[in-house]
Amino acid sequence: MADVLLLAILIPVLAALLIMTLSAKATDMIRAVGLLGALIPTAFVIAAYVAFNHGPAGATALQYPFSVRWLSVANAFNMLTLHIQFAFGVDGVSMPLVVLVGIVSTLSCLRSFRVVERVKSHYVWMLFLTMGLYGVFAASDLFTFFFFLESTLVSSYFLISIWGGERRHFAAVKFLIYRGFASVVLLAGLVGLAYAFAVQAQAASATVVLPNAPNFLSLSIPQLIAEAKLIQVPAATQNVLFLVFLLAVLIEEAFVPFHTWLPDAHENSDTGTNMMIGGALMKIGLYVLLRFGAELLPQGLQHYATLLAVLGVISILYGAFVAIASRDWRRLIAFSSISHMGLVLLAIGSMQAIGIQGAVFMLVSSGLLTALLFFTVGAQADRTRTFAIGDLGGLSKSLPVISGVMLVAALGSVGLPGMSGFISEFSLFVGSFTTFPALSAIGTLGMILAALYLLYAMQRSTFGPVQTLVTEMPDATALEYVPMVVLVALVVLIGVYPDVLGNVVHGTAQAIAAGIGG
Amino acid sequence: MIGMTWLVPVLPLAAYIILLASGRRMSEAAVAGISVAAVFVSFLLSIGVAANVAAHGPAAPTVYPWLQFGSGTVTVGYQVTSLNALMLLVVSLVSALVLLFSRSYMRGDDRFSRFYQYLNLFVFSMLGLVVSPNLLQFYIFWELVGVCSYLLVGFWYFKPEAAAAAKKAFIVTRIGDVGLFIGIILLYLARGTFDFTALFGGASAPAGVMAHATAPLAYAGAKFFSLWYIPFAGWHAGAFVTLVALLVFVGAVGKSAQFPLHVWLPDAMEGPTPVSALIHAATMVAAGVYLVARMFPLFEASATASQTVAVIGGFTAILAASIGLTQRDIKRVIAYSTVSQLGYMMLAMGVGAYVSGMFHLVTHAFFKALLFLAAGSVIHALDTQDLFEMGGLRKYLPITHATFLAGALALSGIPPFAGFWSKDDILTAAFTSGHYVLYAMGLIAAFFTAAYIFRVYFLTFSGAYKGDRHPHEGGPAMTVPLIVLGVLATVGGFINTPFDPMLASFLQDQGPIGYNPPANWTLMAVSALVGLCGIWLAYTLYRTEEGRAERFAQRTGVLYTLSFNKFYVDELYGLIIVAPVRKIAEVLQFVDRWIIDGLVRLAGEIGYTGGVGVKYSSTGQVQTYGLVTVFGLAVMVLVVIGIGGVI
Repeated sequence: MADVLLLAILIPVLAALLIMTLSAKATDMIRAVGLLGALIPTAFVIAAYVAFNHGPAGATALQYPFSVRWLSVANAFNMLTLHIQFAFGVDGVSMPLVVLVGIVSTLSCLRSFRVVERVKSHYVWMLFLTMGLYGVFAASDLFTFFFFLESTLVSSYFLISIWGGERRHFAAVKFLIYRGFASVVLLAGLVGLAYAFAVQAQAASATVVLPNAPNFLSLSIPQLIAEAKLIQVPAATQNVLFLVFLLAVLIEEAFVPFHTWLPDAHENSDTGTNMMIGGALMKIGLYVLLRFGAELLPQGLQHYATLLAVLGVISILYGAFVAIASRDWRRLIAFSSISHMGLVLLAIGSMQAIGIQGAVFMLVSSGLLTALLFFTVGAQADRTRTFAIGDLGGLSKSLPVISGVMLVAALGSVGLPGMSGFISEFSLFVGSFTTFPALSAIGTLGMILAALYLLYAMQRSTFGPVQTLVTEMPDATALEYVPMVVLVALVVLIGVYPDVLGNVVHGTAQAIAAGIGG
Repeated sequence: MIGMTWLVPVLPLAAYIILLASGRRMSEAAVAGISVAAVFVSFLLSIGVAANVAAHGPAAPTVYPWLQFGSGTVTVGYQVTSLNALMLLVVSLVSALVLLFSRSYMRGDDRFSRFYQYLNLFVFSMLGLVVSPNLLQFYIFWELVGVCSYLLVGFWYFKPEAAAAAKKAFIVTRIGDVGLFIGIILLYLARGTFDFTALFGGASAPAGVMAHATAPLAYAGAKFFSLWYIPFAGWHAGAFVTLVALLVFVGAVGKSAQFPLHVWLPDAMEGPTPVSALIHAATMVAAGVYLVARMFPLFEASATASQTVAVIGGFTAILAASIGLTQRDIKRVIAYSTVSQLGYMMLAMGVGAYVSGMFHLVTHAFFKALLFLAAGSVIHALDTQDLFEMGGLRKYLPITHATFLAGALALSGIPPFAGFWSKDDILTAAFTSGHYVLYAMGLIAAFFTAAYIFRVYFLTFSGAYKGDRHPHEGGPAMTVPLIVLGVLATVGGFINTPFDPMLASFLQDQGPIGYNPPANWTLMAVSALVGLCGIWLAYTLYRTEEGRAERFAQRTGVLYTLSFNKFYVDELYGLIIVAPVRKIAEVLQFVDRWIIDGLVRLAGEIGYTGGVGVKYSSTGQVQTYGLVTVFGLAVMVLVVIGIGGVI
């Protein structure tokens, strides 16, 4: 059990290596290995989730820790020896996201059974992306984190540019430039962070007794979090570093005005890839903000809290309005997700425990719902051969099951109680109203606009007279039931009994909020 | 018995799950049988619960932990007070009758089982709403009934009007819901709880007590305001209570289709008629009134909020009634009637007449469900909703005719029918509490009410049949509910007459709530007389002389046009809300495509042609592989430099 995170990261790699040895013609074998390579780690991380210690002791401790030293750099920053590690471990914020990666990757690999071109390399890249996503959320070391973040960039680039739609090369290059730039900015931030902490720790070591006071410099995240409570990185340094991280996050998470790469990427990607990007990859940016912004740079967050809230509200409204005018389902989902991530930014800006809990809920909920939306929209497009909302109509008649699940996903995204979106939205608004009542009131307009764009699109797609060129279509196959049933079940489970997520998140959210004075 | 209250909503949920699991495999009879049986048992349980409350008073809420929320825990559970018990009775009874009626009405529909699934889900949600012990759970069910309404209005999804109406209903009520959403959050921030009992008194107050207990809320609110900056600084404590009460009321306005959010309800008539009877007449739309009743201490504590409730209610009553006078579609007339009657209930709540408002909610549930089901029976027989294609049905549909007449008399407020007692109670309350303008509005609306409903009655049932079908009654599944509701519409008012105010003493078992108007025989006589005048107007216009109604309409000129076109409210909203939202969306979409992304692409283009000199497409993928490598290298170099202490 202790090595569960390592296994989750290694198994997809091993599966990918195995696939490389297979003949490109053995597509069934490749698919089976690919699916297992995603499924087995998922079983592990779900087991880890169930066994997660959510008692008071587990709230702040790193669970399932694993670390191995990779290399040492002597005299780093002209100070002590620096140990670079591969280190993993999860807390109440990263544990749910790790499970999210498992679920989304498994279902995406299942969905990718429909991919017929270059099956072998498709699964190799899918599995590498899965590995990268696990690594990003499970990393407990700055270097490890960055290493896996870069790997996701490469694998998703290939997934978009090889199996995407008409303008896939354009979309993939755009994706790469934006996120690559974000990575460089993020790297600057991480190096600056390590340096600032090293300097302060060095200076403080005479007066403050640091826990496990190592005689070397460490990039371990829990170590830095522990230090952050004891040493005082100067406010000016925190502010600058926070701005650097914020810039990276804004690009990475496609916040207005750095967002145009996301709709293009979604519009030009295969459904399985879209599920991975929308369901898991697009949660990294805000995770970075919570992990490095809120936990390591509390004063920076406090200083820029209002800015976060304003940027959040801008994205909420901008995304929602553009979604109303979107003519393609995939672009609509992309803008909807921009709008929802604006809510999370607003909640993090609130610096309240309940807001942060709501933020993590929203990351998980929107991951599941975005994956479900992409899946159902993709399933209908497999049959009608179009994503254009205006070309659809009356799908309920020929595809009652797929249309029904699509409606469930849409209503879930609108924030209907009984599904995960509601309690996420409610919690994060309770947090944000505490700190920013007026801005939050403006933000609630997003709730009305979400109903508007999603139900308007549903009205044109599934209601009304049949408009599509193809009129006789087979409804969902047995294979397609699996992702739909799993995702709907999870969304409803969280909606009906939110403590299934809450008891993991709650303690850590409280601890983070305590660190930023919420 | 109270310990079994949870079964009341759970039985319809169980029926829903059974139907969902069995899909299309079950016969129509089995589907309807299971559903009616489940809800009927719920009704029997509700009787037991209500009897228990009457005998022993309310019980403390039963709750279970649901979510760790901030420093506390949110719970879910159930609670029974006299108010809840009354609602349980009404909702489960009307639901059982409508489910039975649908057996016949929906016979042969492709998605018969799906229809019953949605209805069961609705009944579950509505009953869950009623027994909610805290605001968060209340809101959850409040939204669930809304989505059931959405699904059922759009049940005939292939009709574009139905699809549009369903969406409109959801979005318009959503606007109100957001108000309630904010109100709940503000209440929570001020008091740290969602529990109804703890909100107004404190944990020690016994369940069901509705005393003037908002003092702690006002105190918390004032403290809370002081933490915020503009625009709240300097507000006194009462302002917070008013703000929250008004936000809660916005939710009620949406759900109960009060002006200015009334526009969704008439369109919602695109749904099957049993849906209109159950959701859009008797239960869900009354939930807004129930919300005000549940939060009564909050409204009592703010004169401004109460006045707003009363004025909105009175204005809606007269506005909707005047629109109802001229509509051609039988269901739309009754829909405007519903809007108008809900206005009466709000008026009652606003002037503090808690019991009168709830009394009218009960009688209205009976006679309005009756009118809709009777209209359904007519539509079922004729396959048209146009009043001018009907006529003479007294002969063909005797039971429908008799029961519709009972409902129409009840709605018109003719003694001794049910509506007389409750509507009169409201008008008396408005008058004796000194709200003379509101009283006058209510009285005029009462005149309109009698006129429009008897216009429907005469056009439908008297004269000669204008169509070419052979109308007949729809069988016992349709007539039994009609007869039961007909009896209730006739004698239901006797639960709370000035001679024996049973309901008043039941609802106020823990002490007086709000304002109880004294019996006033003069006012009673006036309102009965006004009702008779309305009937007389309809009679002279539609039964005496051919073409008299048309001539009358021409003479009223602009007033007629305004009424017929619903005062152009929909058009106005289209102009000032829908069109601007569309415009903003399109402009932003343009900005996004051509300005924000345009700049990005321009920069990209310059970078490529300037830096590389070749377009990436011309060299295929080699270039992009290279790009990846460059990024990777840059990263590695940076890392090594950083670690090595060079910078």
